[in-house]
Amino acid sequence: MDGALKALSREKLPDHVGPCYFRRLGASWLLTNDWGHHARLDQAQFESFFAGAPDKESGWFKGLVDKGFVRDHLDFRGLSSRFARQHSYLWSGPRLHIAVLTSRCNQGCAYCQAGSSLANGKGADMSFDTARKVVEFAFRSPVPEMTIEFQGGEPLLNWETLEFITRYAREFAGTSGRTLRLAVVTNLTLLDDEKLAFLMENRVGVCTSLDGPAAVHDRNRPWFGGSAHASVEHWLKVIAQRYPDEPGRRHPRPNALLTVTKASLPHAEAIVDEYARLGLTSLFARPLSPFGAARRSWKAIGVAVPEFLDFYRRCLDRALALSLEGVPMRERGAGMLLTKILRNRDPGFTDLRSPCGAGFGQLAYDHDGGVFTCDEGRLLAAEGEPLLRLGSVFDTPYEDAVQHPTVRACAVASNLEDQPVCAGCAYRPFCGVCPAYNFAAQDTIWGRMPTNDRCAVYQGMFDLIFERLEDERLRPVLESWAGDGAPCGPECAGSAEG
Amino acid sequence: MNNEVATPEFALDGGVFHADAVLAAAHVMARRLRVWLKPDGKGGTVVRVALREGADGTSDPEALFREEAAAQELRRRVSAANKGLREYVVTQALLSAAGERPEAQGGGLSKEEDAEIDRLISEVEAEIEAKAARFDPGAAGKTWEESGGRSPEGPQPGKAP
Repeated sequence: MDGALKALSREKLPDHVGPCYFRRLGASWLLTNDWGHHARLDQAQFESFFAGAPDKESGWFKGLVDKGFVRDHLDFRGLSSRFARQHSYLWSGPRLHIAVLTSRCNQGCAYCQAGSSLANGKGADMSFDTARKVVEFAFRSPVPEMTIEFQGGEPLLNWETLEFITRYAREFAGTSGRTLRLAVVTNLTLLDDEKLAFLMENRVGVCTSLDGPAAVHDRNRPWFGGSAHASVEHWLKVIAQRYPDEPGRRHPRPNALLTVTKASLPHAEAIVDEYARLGLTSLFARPLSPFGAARRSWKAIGVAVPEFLDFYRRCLDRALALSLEGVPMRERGAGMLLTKILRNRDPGFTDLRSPCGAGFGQLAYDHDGGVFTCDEGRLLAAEGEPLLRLGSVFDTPYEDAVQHPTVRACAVASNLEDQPVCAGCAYRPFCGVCPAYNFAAQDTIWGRMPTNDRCAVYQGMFDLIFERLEDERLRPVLESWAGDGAPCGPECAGSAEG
Repeated sequence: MNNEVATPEFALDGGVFHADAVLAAAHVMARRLRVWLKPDGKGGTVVRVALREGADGTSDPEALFREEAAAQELRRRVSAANKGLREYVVTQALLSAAGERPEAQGGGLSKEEDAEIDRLISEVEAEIEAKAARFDPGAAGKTWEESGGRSPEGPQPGKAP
């Protein structure tokens, strides 16, 4: 049996051990607590803390005192203040509103998670009437700041409605004194000069997909109009050249999402380099989720957890190496985790909260006005499972939607205190589960964490980040990534794309 | 069991390993191990384990399970010993964020007196009970107007583009 666990032979836990979680990381141990603090202990310190008589004058023990690990030295006021700041989203209501402008798309991505179709039927588009109702519904949220994110399908296929919502929502925000952020998740192939001017003029953040160099991107994202990669490259350059930041005026910088498939695996470093070559300063490497076409083509393109984590490690290390060379590059998934770990702040990523943001952190609106807990809930419905549908903007009052029994069920199911494995996990203070993912992958919104791939991915990411934080050369870079929000808002990074 | 070979039975002493810890270990190890549990009739648990197909074959499944059970037992004890304190801090945070001034508890407890800690925990539990009754968990479900926000004079239908 592990020597560090000799404490078990004691009948009583030492009195000084306060609320904490622990995990072995290599040769040392990680301690965390609910107040968002963490500490690394070597083997002797760990054993001493849990079983022996620690030297209470030692630096490491005093460090634990300062961080709220020692039971008889708890600063209740300070710790509760940290907890409240870390969980400030619990009292705010939905800040992220995802408007699916159309279910049509002009690309045929093998991994499409958005339930998109190539059909041309206008019935797949959001009408002005529906769009008006969506805006009015979203503005019922009791939040002083909110984001409306345009999704699809390919949202530029329904450009008129995008324009309509942008103007209508901006006017609404102005008259009710609220801050509004807008973002569009687009493949850029339908952009033109006029549309781009409108987006920039109205400060609509642009979030696109970039899966790497042309060979990888075009294989993942076939487009009948030619090379999708060439289109992305063209428009990223145009935006950079035509809309540079000026004194007193900052244009939203484009962001890109990387979806990792089997085809990506050999190219981790080249993919990060491609982001840098195109002037992007961050990437967000995401594993496939079991929604839409991705579920059906999993055998051909899906990536096992160890493969993804190996790929992720290489991406992270390449981004760190570029940063050390002075090339600005940041992995945004790591940035979000670091914001929680090092800044004690919620980065605004609704998928990684406890409870998750389903219904009271975000809402998604389908093109027909259907209201869902989140975009993933909408994707489930597109596959015939309306479990996470809360109603319609036409006949469901806002209050009924956000207090819907489904929202409550998601909150309970994603509260980590109630998750058997999560409740004792060292990463609990920084993590979150996704009921929609759990349902898609394991047929239950509770999920079963021991065999849950999303859980395994996050555990691996946390392990890696805590390991890299121990490297004195890398730590300043990682600290600079924490709290560095994306121009279009970190929220859009978490949504499934069209 | 296919090709998975189970270990001989081994016992976990009920005086050391609470049944919850053993169950938690079995649950946590589900990706790597198959686990069979039965009570030993003396408060402890009799265990057999087998490495799942595809799991790291160099691992000793009994040692793996014993270590996980030990870790779970330690977690259980830490959690049980600190439940009151943790709930107190979390409740203070909830009440504070909900607009109610939490009771000041100073910068810490007296250092060595266990009795003082026990007394505080009792007070805390009573306080939690009293304050929880006044906490409105539905605040996030209110509308902008109900929460005191200015009513938006939204563009009239037809006015917007």
